[in-house]
Amino acid sequence: MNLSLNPRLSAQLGRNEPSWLAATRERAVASLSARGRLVFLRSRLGNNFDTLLQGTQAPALPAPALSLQEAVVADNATDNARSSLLKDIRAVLEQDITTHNTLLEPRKAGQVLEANSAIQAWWSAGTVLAVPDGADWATPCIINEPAGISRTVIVFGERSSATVVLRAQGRVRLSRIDVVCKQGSRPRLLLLSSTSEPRLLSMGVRCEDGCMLQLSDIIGSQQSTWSRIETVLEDNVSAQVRQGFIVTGGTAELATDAHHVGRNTRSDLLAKSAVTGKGIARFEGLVRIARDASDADGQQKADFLLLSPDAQANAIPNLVTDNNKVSCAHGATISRLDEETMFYVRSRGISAAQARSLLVHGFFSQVMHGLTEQEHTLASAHLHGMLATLVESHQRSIDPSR
Amino acid sequence: MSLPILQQEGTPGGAHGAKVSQASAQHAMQLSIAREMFDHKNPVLFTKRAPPGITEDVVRMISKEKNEPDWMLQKRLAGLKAFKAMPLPEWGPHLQLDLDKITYYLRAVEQTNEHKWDNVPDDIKRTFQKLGIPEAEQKALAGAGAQYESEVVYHHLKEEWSRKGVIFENMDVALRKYPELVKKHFMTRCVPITDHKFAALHAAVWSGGTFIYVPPGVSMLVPMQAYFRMNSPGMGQFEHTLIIVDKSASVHYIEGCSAPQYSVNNLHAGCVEIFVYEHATARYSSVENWSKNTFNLNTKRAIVEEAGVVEWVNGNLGSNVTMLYPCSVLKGDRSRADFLGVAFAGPGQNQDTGSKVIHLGKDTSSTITSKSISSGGGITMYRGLLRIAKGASNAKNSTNCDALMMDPQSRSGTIPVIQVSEETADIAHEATVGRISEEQVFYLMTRGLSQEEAVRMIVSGFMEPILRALPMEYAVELNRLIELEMEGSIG
Repeated sequence: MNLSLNPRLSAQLGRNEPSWLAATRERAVASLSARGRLVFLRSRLGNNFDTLLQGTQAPALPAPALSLQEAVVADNATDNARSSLLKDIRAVLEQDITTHNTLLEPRKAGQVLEANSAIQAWWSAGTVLAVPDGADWATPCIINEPAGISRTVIVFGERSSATVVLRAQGRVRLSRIDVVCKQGSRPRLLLLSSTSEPRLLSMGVRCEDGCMLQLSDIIGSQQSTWSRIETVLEDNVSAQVRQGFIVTGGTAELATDAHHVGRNTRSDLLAKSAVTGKGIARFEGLVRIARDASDADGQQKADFLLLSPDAQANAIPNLVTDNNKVSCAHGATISRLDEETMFYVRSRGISAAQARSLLVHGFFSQVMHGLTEQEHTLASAHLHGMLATLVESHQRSIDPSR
Repeated sequence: MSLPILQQEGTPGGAHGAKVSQASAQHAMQLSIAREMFDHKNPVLFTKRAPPGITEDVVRMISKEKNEPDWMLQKRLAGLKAFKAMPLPEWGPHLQLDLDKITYYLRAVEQTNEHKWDNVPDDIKRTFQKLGIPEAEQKALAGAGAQYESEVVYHHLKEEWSRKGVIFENMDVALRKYPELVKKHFMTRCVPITDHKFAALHAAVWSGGTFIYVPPGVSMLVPMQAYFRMNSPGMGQFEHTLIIVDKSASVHYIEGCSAPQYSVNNLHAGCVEIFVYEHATARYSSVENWSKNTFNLNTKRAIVEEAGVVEWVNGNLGSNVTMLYPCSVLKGDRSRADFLGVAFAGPGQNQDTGSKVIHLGKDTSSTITSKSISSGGGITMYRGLLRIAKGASNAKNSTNCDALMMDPQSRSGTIPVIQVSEETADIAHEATVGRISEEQVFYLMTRGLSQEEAVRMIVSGFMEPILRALPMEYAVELNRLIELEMEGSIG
């Protein structure tokens, strides 16, 4: 079966679903039909979508997480707290993710619309997780993203504090993650992905009053990757985003936006990318301060390390402010391994190969800042595995005899 | 009557690079500029005027009027064809401009001997006198030119420079006198006629402008200046500036632009092409102060050969919408480009400016410094492009954009695009947006300054890197203009 605008497909997927959920699929199909041919999706995922629709739920969901299918029918939960959280999740799912983003330039807004509509219309597996109000979880909750086209919804209850790790490995292709962080919550999200196939990720994080978000995102990309993360900051929100991209081939298009809509908000974004082989990294950041968002502080930094003669890096760090009571800054650097530092490390008796490895690890060290010990262990295992391959391929490009 | 550009009677001319004494600096600071001076309008007089709108007839008429060679007419017609075929840009500010209502060609006076100031008609002479052009020429410039509507009315180069082989001419005259040079460089490889919609329009209806040629090894110590003035309403000005700096030569060229205020829209779509040959240096400074009914859609580009240097100093005030992104193509190895820009957007204005640099040669370097101020609901947007092509090894760039927002209604943004296809590149970009810090104002007020003086001083400090790069008189003018624009917006 090919991805097409055949309405039967979404009807088939939604046949066992409550009517309101099936209706969201229909609306998304309508929005896709209005767009016509799915040029963007076809260009990223290839023409054959056969495998894409066979979503499989990753086995063994950790205790509080539910599969999406289970969650939407569990309306009559006995326990009150649980049913209110399920309501929140239902509210997220009812809302269309297919709205047109007028802040983006038309071409990019079209890409987002197409990806989001396709997910809303054709998702076949999903995970939901609700952290109860006031909960304080000591150990990270690890969720493996389902394969195929999937949706993940996470709700952090009021004043809750928890770490959620989202892992994407293997056949994860097209996924949407919605996160709602309720008043006064302390959400900590860790995204670890390394996929050998083309991948599209669309993510929306809404932070309500007084929330403190920590989002760390480490992506390994060997083929084309498209990732768009949008964070919305309401009053008194502080959001810290740390991203590490290891691009060893293909084109990685990465966009991270911070929309300051409330008063007294803070966002701090750091994106570090290392590119090798024939890889191309495109990073686009946006700090947007709405008219009423006074006392906003928006910081954004993008650093690139080019490790091979064929590697390419493109950066567009955007800054748009409609309010003058702000302090915003962005920066971008693109360079290779610093020769002087290399010389210094080598003068301490360390081989060139080791020195290079040290420097690349050092480049990413800031990405790990602010992580708890458990998170750090998970993130560094993920990162180091990818860096070993990266440094190895870099080594080979310098010295083909190896 | 106060003069904007040079009013330093009794003081030595503060030419580019010359030291200016404390006394004269103070004197200069006391200059006052009033907007009325720019808004002064003469009755519209013309001996030849094209009907509004653009058609093949208008293009043929302009070419015939100028008695141009056939290749130029063909170029204009090709430009017209490209203009009609190309769509308006989809990005950037919205252009509410009716291109059919613009008058594309207007000649105010019959051809005279434009090398003599006395031959300029009184009305026009008075306008330029008000703008301070003749004084400036006498005191600090190697040459000066003045364009009124579509035609150049005055052009003069001091003899010591013409003797060295420097050419400083009206573009139309240059086309007749130096056809080879012009044919080789005019809208060929620097700004091709199909570059974008407004470049194509420019190619079709260009008129007037400046042609400069500096022979090998000649170093122009003092700057040359041209002033462009639009007087009539609904007019389009399309002057073409072509600067050729031959091997190891150097030049500093200054442009000033203004127009009076009308209720109908004026259009300015000029084009500047600069060729910097091996080891040569070109510095191009411009202060554009169009009235707030003008659409300023300009194209400026330089091609820099081996070890050449191009320096842009750009001041954008006035105008309704400005879209201007001076571009440097660093073609030769070890070439360099520096860009300094300042933009000011007041109520109803949209300044969409920035700089483009394309690194092609090895060991090339560039710096971009952009400062913008938005006030009273004005919009300033930095839009830039930096491209390091494959093979441009060891390219270096550093970009700094700072924006100051004076009130909550204003908007500011930066959209820098960075594309690097070369491992050995070294790029750093930085931008900040903010308002004047209350702490700084408080500090200055404890030192006895009024709030307004304190804000003014901080704004001057913010602009300092740009002002320093301009000749003294221009720096003072720019500073004054910004103060004038900000008057009443503080507090």
